[in-house]
Amino acid sequence: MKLNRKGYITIEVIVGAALTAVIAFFLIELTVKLVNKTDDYYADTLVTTDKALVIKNIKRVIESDISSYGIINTLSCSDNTCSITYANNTEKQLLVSNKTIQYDSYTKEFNAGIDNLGLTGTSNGNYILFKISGDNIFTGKDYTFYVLIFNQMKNSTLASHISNLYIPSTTIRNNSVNYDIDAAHNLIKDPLGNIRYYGANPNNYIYFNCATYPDTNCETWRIIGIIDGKMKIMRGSSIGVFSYDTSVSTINSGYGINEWSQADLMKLLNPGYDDNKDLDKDGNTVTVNNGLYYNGYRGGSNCYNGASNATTTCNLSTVSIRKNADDTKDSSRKISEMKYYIGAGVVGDGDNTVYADKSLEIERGTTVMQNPGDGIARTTSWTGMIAIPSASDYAYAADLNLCSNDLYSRTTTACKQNNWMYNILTDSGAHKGWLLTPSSNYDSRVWRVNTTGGVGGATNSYAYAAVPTLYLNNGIIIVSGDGTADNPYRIS
Amino acid sequence: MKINNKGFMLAEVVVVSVVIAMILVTSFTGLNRVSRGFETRNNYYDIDSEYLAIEANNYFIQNGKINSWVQSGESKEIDISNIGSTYVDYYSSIKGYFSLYNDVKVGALTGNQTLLDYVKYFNGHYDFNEEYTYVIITEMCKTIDDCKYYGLRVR
Repeated sequence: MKLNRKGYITIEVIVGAALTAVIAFFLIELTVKLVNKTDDYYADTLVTTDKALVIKNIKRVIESDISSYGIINTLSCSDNTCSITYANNTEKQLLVSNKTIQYDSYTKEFNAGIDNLGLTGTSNGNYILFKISGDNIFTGKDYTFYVLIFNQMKNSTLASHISNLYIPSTTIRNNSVNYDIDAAHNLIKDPLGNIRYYGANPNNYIYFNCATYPDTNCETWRIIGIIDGKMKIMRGSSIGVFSYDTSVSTINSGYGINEWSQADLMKLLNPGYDDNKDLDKDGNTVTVNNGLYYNGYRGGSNCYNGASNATTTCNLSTVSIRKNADDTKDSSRKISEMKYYIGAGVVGDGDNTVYADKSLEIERGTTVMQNPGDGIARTTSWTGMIAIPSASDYAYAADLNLCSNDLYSRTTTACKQNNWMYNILTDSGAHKGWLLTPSSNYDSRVWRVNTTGGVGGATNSYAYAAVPTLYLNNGIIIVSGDGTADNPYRIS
Repeated sequence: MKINNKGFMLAEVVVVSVVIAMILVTSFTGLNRVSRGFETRNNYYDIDSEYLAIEANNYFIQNGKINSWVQSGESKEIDISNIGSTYVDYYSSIKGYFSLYNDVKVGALTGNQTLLDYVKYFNGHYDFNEEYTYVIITEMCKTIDDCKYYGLRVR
């Protein structure tokens, strides 16, 4: 067969070679790019998987520890190691070494393609940020993992936080009862399992009754403890001096009735008595003790402050519970309706047998004043929103190591100085202060804290310092704060 | 066996070369598109931004802000500086945005061009028939045109 040509002319060879070179160049470029991109994507995918796992798990274990041990108080990072100290002084380390990140029992080995790992940590108070960095050993690409930690008791209620803080460190004995105490946090567990703050000045400060939560124009309250599973708090100062109860002179000689469920002070503090009317000392019907504290900001009214229905004008507008349609400004919705125990007992008047455990036993007991002259049946509990501290609240607020006395004999300087509740209940010694617990041997007497610090019985109608006390709803969580006087707990 | 040793005509070589070149260009373009898609997804589903959005959402829930925002229905930038300040050494700008979960409200968000690009992407990729109430969008920028985003949809 005959060939149509014997070969290519020079220009054909050049053009062909050029085209081949261009095609080869693009082929090589494409192949290299494809390989590089595939490698990068593969490495990125592995790193992204690692990143998600590391962030999620480090965040989980540290936030879990915050719930258990309290907030992170100090954070110190150097040489790829971050030392963390929690509120209860538990110390742990987050560290990176040999391509492995480790915190407590959690360990994660990074992909072999990552090198030059580094770890740093910073804090702005409420949030902690850990930065984990590394390089892709093939491409040199930098990878960075940020682990953002909310340094508060998130997902942890205030009540569970206090419960978690309590780690008993020693045992003390008072009136033949052993108590496990956490001396580091000034927490004591009573015989019923309630955890209570004790001592001269424990870190039990909390903002409540704020104009706007968590910390705008708030009142400073104090945490009594976790009582019956809920956070019990009391105002940081009294709202004035009022009668516990009073009556017309024909009933108990005008000294009132020691039954909290119908007491005048109860009506002053609680909802449901907006239109409460009763007789004054002259026998006139007046609006009196009409829920001024709970309803708030409604101006002045009359309040009982003496025997035989003696009244005084009163205005609680600057101290009463704030109510608002906006959740962030409504304190009343944070209050839990709760059962308060009002079992009666003898104290003072020569009875020196009531120690802390006994006061608790009396409150929770079934003893009541029998056959009272006023004909009003006494009860052993009352369910409502706001009351005043019970005898056991005062009793266990003392450091029993430094004040082992019975309640009647708590008149020593050590007892007054080592009981954070003393100054609040007595307006720093200026007034006697009411306790919730009634007397079982007088129909018109209630327990009170004397200015001397001792507990005894007092006639209902006297005007003594009243300190509102209530339980918070269980759902309330901590936004910030550590409970110190300078940084009280802030709640949502 | 007969050998075909006539060779190729120049036209044949050119045609084949053009075909191969077209295939290469198409592949190259496709690869770049895949690459851009990968980068886009990395930037728009960023893990760091996601955790920032979760923390921001928790913060505003705890502080009782969300209900009033939902009631007002306003699409707006929200202050997340208390959280974002922890990133101050690593990002030049940290921002948050709130919107009800519908395309008109999300589309009403205003910000720099990267946010507008993200909003356009968001509106084009999410099903607004799903029963979410609002979205918290977080933006983490190293430079004005190097930003990462995450849109946290909340029921």
